Amino acid sequence: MRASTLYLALTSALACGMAGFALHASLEVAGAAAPLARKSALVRQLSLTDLCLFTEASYTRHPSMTDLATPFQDSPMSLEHFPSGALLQPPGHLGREESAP
Amino acid sequence: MMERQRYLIDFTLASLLRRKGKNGALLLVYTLVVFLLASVLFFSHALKREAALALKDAPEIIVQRTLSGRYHPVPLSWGSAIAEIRGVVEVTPRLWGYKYDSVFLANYTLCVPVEDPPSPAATASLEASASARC
Repeated sequence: MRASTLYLALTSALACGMAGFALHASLEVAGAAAPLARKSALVRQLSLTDLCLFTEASYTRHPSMTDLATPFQDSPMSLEHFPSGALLQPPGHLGREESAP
Repeated sequence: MMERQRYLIDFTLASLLRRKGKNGALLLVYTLVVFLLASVLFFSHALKREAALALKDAPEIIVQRTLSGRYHPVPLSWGSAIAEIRGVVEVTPRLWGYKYDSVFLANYTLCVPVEDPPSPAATASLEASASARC
C-alpha cells in the first residue's frame, strides 16, 4: 500500500472524528438547555454573583464581591493562608486605577 | 492532477521516515504542546461561557457592608436611600448568613430566597433541632 493512501485515510478518519466531536457538542448544547435554565433560576432566586470555583474563603468563593483588605484581615502583615488564594487572582476592577471622568 | 499531489505526499513521507526517531519525537512534542494549550484554552473558555450563561440574571450592583474586614448585615432602611439614586430601577434585599456546624467544625454560608423566606418560627425550630443533634 502506498504511504500517501495510508496518510490520506488517516487524515480523513481524523477529520471525521473532529466532525463527530462538533456534532456531539451541538447535540449536547440542545440537551443542556434545561439544566442551564435551572441554574439561571437559582442565580435569580438567590442573587448569586459568581461561579464558586473554590469554597475556602469568601474572597475566593465570590471574587466579584471581594476587596483588597479581606485576605489580610487577621493582620496587615500576615501571609494569606488559604491555598486557593494563590490560584485565584484578585478581580480586575480592584487593580485598576480609578480615572476621574 | 490528484496523482501529482499523491506523489508529493509519498515523497514527503519517505523523507520524513528517513529519520523516524527525530521526526516521531518532534510529532509527539508538537502534539503534546497543542494538546496542553488547547485543553487550557477550551476549558477556560467553557468556564467563562458557562458562567456568562448561568449568571445572565445576576444582580447588576450589590451593595455590601464590611465591618473590621468582615461582611456585616446592611440595614433595610438603606434600601430607600439607594432607590433614590438616579438610574436605580429596583432594590431588593439579599438574605444570607453563616451557620456554624459544630459536628463538622465548619461554617456554612446559607442563602435564602427573598420571596417566601422561612418564617422566624421555622428558623427557630431548625436551630433547636440542630442543637438537639449536637
